Amino acid sequence: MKTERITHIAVITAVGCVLGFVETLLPPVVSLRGFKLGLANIAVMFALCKYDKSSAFFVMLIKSIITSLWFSGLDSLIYSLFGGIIALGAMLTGKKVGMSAVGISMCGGVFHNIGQLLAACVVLGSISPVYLSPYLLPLGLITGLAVGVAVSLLLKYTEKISKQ
Amino acid sequence: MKKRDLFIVLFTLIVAGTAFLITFGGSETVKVYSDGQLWGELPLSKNAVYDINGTNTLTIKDGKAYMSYATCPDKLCILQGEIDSAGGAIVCLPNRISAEVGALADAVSR
Repeated sequence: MKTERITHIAVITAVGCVLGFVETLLPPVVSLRGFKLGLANIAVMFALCKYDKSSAFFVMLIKSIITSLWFSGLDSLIYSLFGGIIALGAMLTGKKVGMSAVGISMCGGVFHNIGQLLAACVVLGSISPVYLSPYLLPLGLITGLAVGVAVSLLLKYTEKISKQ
Repeated sequence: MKKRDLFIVLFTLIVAGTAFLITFGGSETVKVYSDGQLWGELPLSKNAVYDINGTNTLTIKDGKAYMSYATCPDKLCILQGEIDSAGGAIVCLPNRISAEVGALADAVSR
Protein backbone atom coordinates (compact mmCIF):
# COMPACT_ATOMS: atom_id res chain seq x y z
CA MET A 1 0.00 0.00 0.00
CA LYS A 2 2.77 2.37 0.91
CA THR A 3 4.71 1.64 -2.28
CA GLU A 4 1.54 2.25 -4.26
CA ARG A 5 1.07 5.65 -2.70
CA ILE A 6 4.69 6.67 -3.25
CA THR A 7 4.29 5.71 -6.89
CA HIS A 8 1.05 7.65 -7.22
CA ILE A 9 2.57 10.77 -5.70
CA ALA A 10 5.62 10.49 -7.96
CA VAL A 11 3.33 10.28 -10.99
CA ILE A 12 1.31 13.29 -9.79
CA THR A 13 4.55 15.27 -9.29
CA ALA A 14 5.74 14.34 -12.78
CA VAL A 15 2.41 15.45 -14.25
CA GLY A 16 2.73 18.72 -12.31
CA CYS A 17 6.18 19.36 -13.82
CA VAL A 18 4.89 18.67 -17.32
CA LEU A 19 1.93 21.01 -16.75
CA GLY A 20 4.44 23.65 -15.68
CA PHE A 21 6.28 23.08 -18.95
CA VAL A 22 3.08 23.27 -21.02
CA GLU A 23 2.39 26.62 -19.38
CA THR A 24 5.69 28.08 -20.58
CA LEU A 25 4.62 27.32 -24.16
CA LEU A 26 1.50 29.46 -23.85
CA PRO A 27 1.82 33.15 -24.72
CA PRO A 28 1.74 35.45 -21.67
CA VAL A 29 -1.82 36.63 -21.18
CA VAL A 30 -0.96 39.48 -18.86
CA SER A 31 2.50 40.98 -18.79
CA LEU A 32 2.96 40.91 -15.04
CA ARG A 33 5.79 39.19 -13.27
CA GLY A 34 4.43 36.39 -11.18
CA PHE A 35 1.26 35.99 -13.16
CA LYS A 36 0.84 32.46 -14.38
CA LEU A 37 -2.15 30.28 -15.05
CA GLY A 38 -0.95 27.88 -12.40
CA LEU A 39 -1.76 24.74 -14.32
CA ALA A 40 0.81 22.90 -12.21
CA ASN A 41 -1.36 23.60 -9.18
CA ILE A 42 -3.78 21.03 -10.55
CA ALA A 43 -1.26 18.42 -9.38
CA VAL A 44 -0.91 19.95 -5.90
CA MET A 45 -4.68 20.30 -5.54
CA PHE A 46 -5.23 16.74 -6.70
CA ALA A 47 -2.72 15.40 -4.17
CA LEU A 48 -4.41 17.42 -1.42
CA CYS A 49 -7.92 16.24 -2.24
CA LYS A 50 -7.07 12.63 -3.07
CA TYR A 51 -4.43 12.04 -0.39
CA ASP A 52 -3.35 14.32 2.45
CA LYS A 53 -1.44 17.49 3.26
CA SER A 54 2.01 15.90 3.46
CA SER A 55 1.55 14.44 -0.05
CA ALA A 56 0.46 17.86 -1.33
CA PHE A 57 3.46 19.51 0.33
CA PHE A 58 5.83 17.01 -1.25
CA VAL A 59 4.32 17.51 -4.71
CA MET A 60 4.50 21.31 -4.32
CA LEU A 61 8.13 21.25 -3.11
CA ILE A 62 9.51 18.96 -5.81
CA LYS A 63 7.44 20.61 -8.54
CA SER A 64 8.67 24.08 -7.54
CA ILE A 65 12.32 23.04 -7.46
CA ILE A 66 12.23 21.16 -10.75
CA THR A 67 10.25 23.72 -12.77
CA SER A 68 12.28 26.65 -11.39
CA LEU A 69 15.63 25.06 -12.23
CA TRP A 70 14.32 23.81 -15.53
CA PHE A 71 12.74 26.94 -16.98
CA SER A 72 13.40 30.13 -15.12
CA GLY A 73 16.56 29.89 -13.05
CA LEU A 74 17.34 29.86 -9.35
CA ASP A 75 16.14 33.38 -8.58
CA SER A 76 12.56 32.42 -9.33
CA LEU A 77 12.74 29.53 -6.85
CA ILE A 78 12.30 31.84 -3.86
CA TYR A 79 9.08 33.28 -5.36
CA SER A 80 7.84 29.85 -6.33
CA LEU A 81 8.49 28.31 -2.92
CA PHE A 82 7.26 31.28 -0.91
CA GLY A 83 4.06 31.43 -2.96
CA GLY A 84 3.66 27.66 -2.83
CA ILE A 85 4.01 27.35 0.93
CA ILE A 86 1.62 30.22 1.68
CA ALA A 87 -0.84 28.89 -0.91
CA LEU A 88 -0.74 25.43 0.64
CA GLY A 89 -1.36 26.92 4.08
CA ALA A 90 -4.40 28.77 2.73
CA MET A 91 -5.64 25.64 0.96
CA LEU A 92 -5.39 23.58 4.17
CA THR A 93 -7.34 26.30 6.00
CA GLY A 94 -9.94 26.26 3.24
CA LYS A 95 -10.23 22.49 3.49
CA LYS A 96 -10.62 22.68 7.26
CA VAL A 97 -13.34 25.33 6.98
CA GLY A 98 -15.22 22.97 4.68
CA MET A 99 -14.85 24.58 1.27
CA SER A 100 -15.40 22.67 -1.95
CA ALA A 101 -12.51 21.82 -4.29
CA VAL A 102 -13.20 25.02 -6.24
CA GLY A 103 -13.07 27.14 -3.08
CA ILE A 104 -9.86 25.50 -1.85
CA SER A 105 -8.31 26.08 -5.24
CA MET A 106 -9.32 29.75 -5.24
CA CYS A 107 -7.68 30.14 -1.79
CA GLY A 108 -4.55 28.62 -3.32
CA GLY A 109 -4.61 30.92 -6.35
CA VAL A 110 -5.07 34.11 -4.35
CA PHE A 111 -2.57 33.27 -1.62
CA HIS A 112 0.01 32.05 -4.12
CA ASN A 113 0.00 35.56 -5.56
CA ILE A 114 0.04 37.16 -2.11
CA GLY A 115 3.08 35.02 -1.23
CA GLN A 116 4.90 36.00 -4.40
CA LEU A 117 4.19 39.69 -3.85
CA LEU A 118 5.54 39.41 -0.30
CA ALA A 119 8.66 37.63 -1.59
CA ALA A 120 9.08 40.39 -4.18
CA CYS A 121 8.79 43.00 -1.40
CA VAL A 122 11.55 41.24 0.55
CA VAL A 123 13.84 40.89 -2.50
CA LEU A 124 13.30 44.48 -3.64
CA GLY A 125 13.44 45.89 -0.12
CA SER A 126 10.46 48.05 -1.03
CA ILE A 127 6.70 47.79 -0.86
CA SER A 128 6.22 48.74 -4.51
CA PRO A 129 5.02 45.23 -5.53
CA VAL A 130 1.87 46.06 -3.55
CA TYR A 131 0.91 48.19 -6.55
CA LEU A 132 0.36 45.01 -8.51
CA SER A 133 -1.99 43.47 -5.94
CA PRO A 134 -5.24 45.03 -7.25
CA TYR A 135 -4.62 43.13 -10.50
CA LEU A 136 -2.89 40.00 -9.24
CA LEU A 137 -5.34 39.03 -6.49
CA PRO A 138 -8.50 38.93 -8.66
CA LEU A 139 -6.46 37.18 -11.38
CA GLY A 140 -5.43 34.58 -8.80
CA LEU A 141 -9.08 34.10 -7.95
CA ILE A 142 -9.94 33.47 -11.61
CA THR A 143 -7.07 31.07 -12.26
CA GLY A 144 -7.89 29.32 -8.98
CA LEU A 145 -11.44 28.90 -10.20
CA ALA A 146 -10.24 27.35 -13.47
CA VAL A 147 -7.87 24.99 -11.66
CA GLY A 148 -10.60 24.09 -9.16
CA VAL A 149 -13.06 23.15 -11.90
CA ALA A 150 -10.37 21.02 -13.58
CA VAL A 151 -9.58 19.23 -10.29
CA SER A 152 -13.28 18.62 -9.55
CA LEU A 153 -13.66 16.92 -12.92
CA LEU A 154 -10.45 14.97 -12.38
CA LEU A 155 -11.61 13.74 -8.95
CA LYS A 156 -14.96 12.69 -10.42
CA TYR A 157 -13.35 10.61 -13.18
CA THR A 158 -10.58 9.06 -11.06
CA GLU A 159 -13.21 7.95 -8.57
CA LYS A 160 -14.91 6.00 -11.34
CA ILE A 161 -11.60 4.39 -12.29
CA SER A 162 -10.70 3.25 -8.79
CA LYS A 163 -14.13 1.68 -8.36
CA GLN A 164 -13.75 -0.59 -11.36
CA MET B 1 -19.26 25.42 -5.44
CA LYS B 2 -20.42 25.79 -1.87
CA LYS B 3 -21.62 28.83 0.01
CA ARG B 4 -18.42 28.82 2.07
CA ASP B 5 -16.38 29.34 -1.09
CA LEU B 6 -17.69 32.89 -1.13
CA PHE B 7 -15.44 33.71 1.87
CA ILE B 8 -12.36 33.69 -0.32
CA VAL B 9 -14.09 35.69 -3.08
CA LEU B 10 -15.13 38.33 -0.56
CA PHE B 11 -11.69 38.35 1.05
CA THR B 12 -9.98 38.90 -2.31
CA LEU B 13 -12.29 41.70 -3.35
CA ILE B 14 -11.84 43.50 -0.01
CA VAL B 15 -8.03 43.19 -0.01
CA ALA B 16 -7.70 44.12 -3.69
CA GLY B 17 -10.10 47.03 -3.28
CA THR B 18 -8.22 48.34 -0.25
CA ALA B 19 -4.90 48.00 -2.07
CA PHE B 20 -6.38 49.87 -5.03
CA LEU B 21 -7.55 52.75 -2.83
CA ILE B 22 -4.21 52.96 -1.00
CA THR B 23 -1.98 52.82 -4.05
CA PHE B 24 -3.87 54.95 -6.53
CA GLY B 25 -3.64 58.66 -6.07
CA GLY B 26 -2.30 61.12 -8.56
CA SER B 27 1.17 62.60 -8.53
CA GLU B 28 3.24 64.63 -10.94
CA THR B 29 6.55 62.86 -10.32
CA VAL B 30 7.94 59.38 -10.82
CA LYS B 31 9.95 57.96 -7.95
CA VAL B 32 12.62 55.50 -8.98
CA TYR B 33 13.93 53.04 -6.43
CA SER B 34 17.05 50.95 -6.80
CA ASP B 35 17.66 48.18 -4.24
CA GLY B 36 15.04 49.75 -1.99
CA GLN B 37 16.79 53.15 -1.97
CA LEU B 38 15.32 56.24 -3.61
CA TRP B 39 17.36 56.72 -6.78
CA GLY B 40 15.62 59.84 -7.97
CA GLU B 41 12.40 61.75 -8.28
CA LEU B 42 11.68 62.67 -11.89
CA PRO B 43 9.12 65.17 -13.16
CA LEU B 44 6.53 63.72 -15.56
CA SER B 45 6.14 67.08 -17.28
CA LYS B 46 9.65 67.04 -18.79
CA ASN B 47 10.45 64.79 -21.76
CA ALA B 48 13.69 63.01 -20.95
CA VAL B 49 15.59 59.72 -21.02
CA TYR B 50 17.17 58.49 -17.78
CA ASP B 51 19.82 55.83 -17.46
CA ILE B 52 19.35 53.92 -14.19
CA ASN B 53 22.55 52.17 -12.99
CA GLY B 54 23.37 51.20 -16.59
CA THR B 55 20.85 48.35 -16.38
CA ASN B 56 17.57 50.08 -17.20
CA THR B 57 16.46 53.08 -19.20
CA LEU B 58 13.37 55.01 -18.19
CA THR B 59 11.86 57.29 -20.80
CA ILE B 60 9.42 60.06 -19.98
CA LYS B 61 7.43 61.38 -22.90
CA ASP B 62 4.27 63.49 -22.99
CA GLY B 63 3.52 62.94 -19.30
CA LYS B 64 3.96 59.15 -19.51
CA ALA B 65 6.86 57.11 -18.16
CA TYR B 66 7.93 53.73 -19.50
CA MET B 67 10.92 51.42 -19.35
CA SER B 68 12.58 51.54 -22.75
CA TYR B 69 15.58 49.32 -22.10
CA ALA B 70 16.53 46.61 -19.60
CA THR B 71 19.40 44.15 -19.37
CA CYS B 72 17.28 41.41 -17.81
CA PRO B 73 16.28 38.46 -20.00
CA ASP B 74 12.50 38.57 -19.57
CA LYS B 75 11.93 42.30 -20.29
CA LEU B 76 8.77 42.26 -18.20
CA CYS B 77 9.35 45.81 -17.02
CA ILE B 78 9.19 46.98 -20.64
CA LEU B 79 6.04 44.95 -21.21
CA GLN B 80 4.45 46.58 -18.17
CA GLY B 81 3.86 49.62 -20.37
CA GLU B 82 3.32 53.24 -19.46
CA ILE B 83 2.47 54.87 -16.16
CA ASP B 84 1.14 58.41 -15.95
CA SER B 85 0.02 60.91 -13.32
CA ALA B 86 -3.00 58.76 -12.44
CA GLY B 87 -0.71 56.33 -10.58
CA GLY B 88 0.92 52.94 -10.98
CA ALA B 89 4.26 51.22 -10.89
CA ILE B 90 6.78 49.49 -13.12
CA VAL B 91 8.79 46.82 -11.35
CA CYS B 92 11.97 45.16 -12.61
CA LEU B 93 12.73 42.34 -10.19
CA PRO B 94 15.98 40.98 -11.72
CA ASN B 95 17.65 44.41 -11.54
CA ARG B 96 15.80 45.39 -8.34
CA ILE B 97 14.48 48.61 -9.75
CA SER B 98 11.01 50.07 -9.47
CA ALA B 99 9.42 53.23 -10.80
CA GLU B 100 6.29 54.46 -9.07
CA VAL B 101 3.73 57.19 -9.35
CA GLY B 102 1.20 57.58 -6.63
CA ALA B 103 0.09 58.13 -3.11
CA LEU B 104 1.83 55.06 -1.70
CA ALA B 105 5.20 56.18 -3.07
CA ASP B 106 4.63 59.62 -1.55
CA ALA B 107 3.66 58.21 1.83
CA VAL B 108 6.71 55.93 1.97
CA SER B 109 9.27 58.54 0.99
CA ARG B 110 8.01 60.84 3.73
